[in-house]
Amino acid sequence: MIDPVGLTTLLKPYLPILVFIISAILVTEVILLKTDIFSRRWHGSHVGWKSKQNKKVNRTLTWIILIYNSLGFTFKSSSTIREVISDIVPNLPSQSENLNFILHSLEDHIYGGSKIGRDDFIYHKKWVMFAKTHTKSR
Amino acid sequence: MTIKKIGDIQKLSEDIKTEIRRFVVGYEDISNDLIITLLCGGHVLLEGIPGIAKTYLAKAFSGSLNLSMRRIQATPDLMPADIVGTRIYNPKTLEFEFRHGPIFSNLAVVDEISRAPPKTQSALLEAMQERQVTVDGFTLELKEPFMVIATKNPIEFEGTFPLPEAQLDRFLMRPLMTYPGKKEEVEILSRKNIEGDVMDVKPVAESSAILSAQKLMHDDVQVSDGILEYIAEIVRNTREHTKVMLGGSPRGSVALLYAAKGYAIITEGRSFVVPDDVKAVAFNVLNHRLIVRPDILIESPEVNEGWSYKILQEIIHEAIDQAVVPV
Repeated sequence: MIDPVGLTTLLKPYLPILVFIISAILVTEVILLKTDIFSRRWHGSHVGWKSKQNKKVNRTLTWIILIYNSLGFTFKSSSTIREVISDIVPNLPSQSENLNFILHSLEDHIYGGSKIGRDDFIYHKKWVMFAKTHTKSR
Repeated sequence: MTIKKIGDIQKLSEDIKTEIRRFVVGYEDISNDLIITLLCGGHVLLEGIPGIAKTYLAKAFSGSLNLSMRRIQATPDLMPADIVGTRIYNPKTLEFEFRHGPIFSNLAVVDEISRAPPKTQSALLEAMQERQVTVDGFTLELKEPFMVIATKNPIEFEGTFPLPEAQLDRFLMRPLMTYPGKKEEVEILSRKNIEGDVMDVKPVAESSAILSAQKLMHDDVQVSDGILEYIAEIVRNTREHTKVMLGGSPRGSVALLYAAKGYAIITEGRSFVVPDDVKAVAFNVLNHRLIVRPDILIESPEVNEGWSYKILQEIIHEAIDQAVVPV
């Protein structure tokens, strides 16, 4: 049985250093999330494409695959983003403009090497929000 | 027309296609293949049954380019010297002079290539790969740009010779031409009824523009490492396929890369390659480089070219399907 009072007394001298370490971890995590400096392997790669993109892009890709599967299609890792999106669009006409924008934004970024700007991510965010609601409602 | 950016190449390509459309009904995809091959500095083999405008298309395409064009009608008695040229004694100067063959042109249209015997076909090997010919110990450079447009009929066997694998591999693409649809056929009849066989194609592309377009495509179209791996994986999958005796060569991989770059430009004016470009050109770039195992072909209820095309489509489709798309 852990004695909370004893533990607090034991850790009290180390409190400043513990606070410093935790803060450093949090700050690093925020930097990693907010910038594209470090490309990180997608933890959700088992869902579909083995992406090497940053988290924001991967979140968009993940939701594209999840929606694709929810519409009754079977995702294959040999399918291109364009093929998958062209199957989704006729089933979700309200999202066609957003998805076409996202397609070009993703292709420009992944294959053309361009950065995804802050404004572009508004579309990505809109898509993720829509996709989450859409899958919940089904 | 001056070629300075990727968009200019797309415009040039549209101009060429517009000119071809004036005389050839349909076959938009084949026109694209011809333009891609020209941009890649490659050669094309148009294959299809008789009477579907293979030579007509080749002539319309050649006419739309302001380049020197020579036609070679392949026959069983055609000799290598008839293609590359030969040294002839001139009694006036008392010296041997080289008479250039039809290969010394920008565009060499070789009609019914399979009617030429293998030794004559082999005369094209050095020209197609190295853009030079060696005659009587002398090596002569060919003109730039240089492109061979060959036509072949797959159903005739009498008086024909198979194309050696080494030569087939030198063609960047082998588009397979099939019958036009009913709507296109009616349009053909309507045009022939009014215009007859007149073909006054206007050249819309200068040699300098084509050379600039070739350089720009090579230098400015970006291909990510993922796409390079994807191309290599597709070609390697053809080598490991159980129905294949000989798969795609590294030259085939390079051809697939170049053709995908060309496709990216002329279809969307894009300065980078996406996996869809690779998929779009894969069949025409790889189909003539594969040799299907004979026992697989014999299993067919009807042994003909149509069956072998079907098998090739299956193999290439499976090779693409096994490759993971880079993201």
